[in-house]
Amino acid sequence: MRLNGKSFPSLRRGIICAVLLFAPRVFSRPVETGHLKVQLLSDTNAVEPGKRFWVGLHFEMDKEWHIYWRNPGDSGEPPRVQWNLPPGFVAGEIEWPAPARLGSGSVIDYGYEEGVLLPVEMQTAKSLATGQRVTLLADVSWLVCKDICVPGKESLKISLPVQTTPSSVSASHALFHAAKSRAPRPLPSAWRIDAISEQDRFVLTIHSGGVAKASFFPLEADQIDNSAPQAIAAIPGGMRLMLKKSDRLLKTPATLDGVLEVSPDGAYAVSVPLPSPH
Amino acid sequence: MKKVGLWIGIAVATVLALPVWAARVGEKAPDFKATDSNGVEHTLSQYAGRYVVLEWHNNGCPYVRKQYNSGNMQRLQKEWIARGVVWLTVISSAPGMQGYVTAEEENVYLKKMDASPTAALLDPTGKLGHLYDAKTSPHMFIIDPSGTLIYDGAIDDQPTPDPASVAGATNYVSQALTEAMAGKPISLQTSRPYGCSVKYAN
Repeated sequence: MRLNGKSFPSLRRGIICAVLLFAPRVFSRPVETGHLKVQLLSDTNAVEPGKRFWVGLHFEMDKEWHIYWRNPGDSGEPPRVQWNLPPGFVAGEIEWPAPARLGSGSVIDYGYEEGVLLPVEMQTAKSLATGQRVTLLADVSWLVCKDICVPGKESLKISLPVQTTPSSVSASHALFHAAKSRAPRPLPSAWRIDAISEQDRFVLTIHSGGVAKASFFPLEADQIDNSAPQAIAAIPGGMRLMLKKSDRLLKTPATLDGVLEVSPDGAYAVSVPLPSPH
Repeated sequence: MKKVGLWIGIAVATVLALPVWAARVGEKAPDFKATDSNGVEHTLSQYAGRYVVLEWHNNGCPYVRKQYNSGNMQRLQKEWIARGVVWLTVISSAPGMQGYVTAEEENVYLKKMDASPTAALLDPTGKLGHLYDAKTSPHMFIIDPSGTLIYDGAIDDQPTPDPASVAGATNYVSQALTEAMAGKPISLQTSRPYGCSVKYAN
């Protein structure tokens, strides 16, 4: 495994350490491993008893390296996190930002290049004494790939003060804002999507009022052929998106669940029922 | 005129070169011809009447190393070959890519790892890989004695490179072979073939 050559000059490290002494630790020390840097961040500078707040796993990959979406596509695997939290705290699931289509040829993956924040909503305990600090621990594992793949894991922690008044946003707030703007949204109420299952493909009919560049990212593996081009055809009031079925799909699923990326509108979370086969 | 004829010829040849059918569970597995690390040629059709396992391999991939460093893949090869199965390891890494080996290097690797597949097929052009649409290492296929593809997918239910995940894993290849040999329906015929992407030529 090639180790990353990046390291803080000692002066900068000194300054950062000095700042850390006086600032609340609302971010974990960034951990550099082969090909990426990972850090646990909080959206706010403090937690309020009984309230929810956002934390996030911030991955910064080396140039051309990538990590994976919840459905990684043809190869790879998504990052995973195991929380060790104070009593009464409950972690939500990762709110996956819409992925990019990665790779070429017959092996196509879904994931993120450059950097990504994976937000997780935290429920705090109702009974928390103010003045104390709470520590959140995350055991994170991932696979980072370019033309080769390197697995990694790290234990991260953040420590936050407890207060009864609403907290100010942290220095990482812009990252959370960006991640949430990439989160798949509900379909616009004026839109409608139908799907049919044909011999070798699914056809999504998207009543969106117009035609745009659209692509579908399936939540489940082996429903569609990830490497097959997704053809778009214009129809009155919308478009059709053709999705080749995976060779490993033996039974038509009840729904096609996934993210429909429509440019330039954004990413939508969709669950489209499929008529049961006759 | 001559030029037009040439172009038509190229177009026809291109169409013919595309795989005419994919490997799909329940259907006849496509026949192939490939050369192993000892220079011996193998075809699928020569093994008609026997179960054939295809194992896509890349010795640098963490998911493959999990299986080989734990000795699990070697155990599977020995166990099933002893029961009459033909086990073909296939290496589709292109020259210069991770996992690419010469015949000599592969023979050294097999000896060092105490691996004993029936043969290790060298597929640096990716022809066999593309014929079966192998996505990952390890990606596993099982063909039954009638030549039908009966399993296409992962080696087991632990899609992680963590060596600790080998113990206690449900091995899908063993499960399918056990069921098929007992004349039972195969409970899991396909699964997502987890691992590293096959390092085809770009």
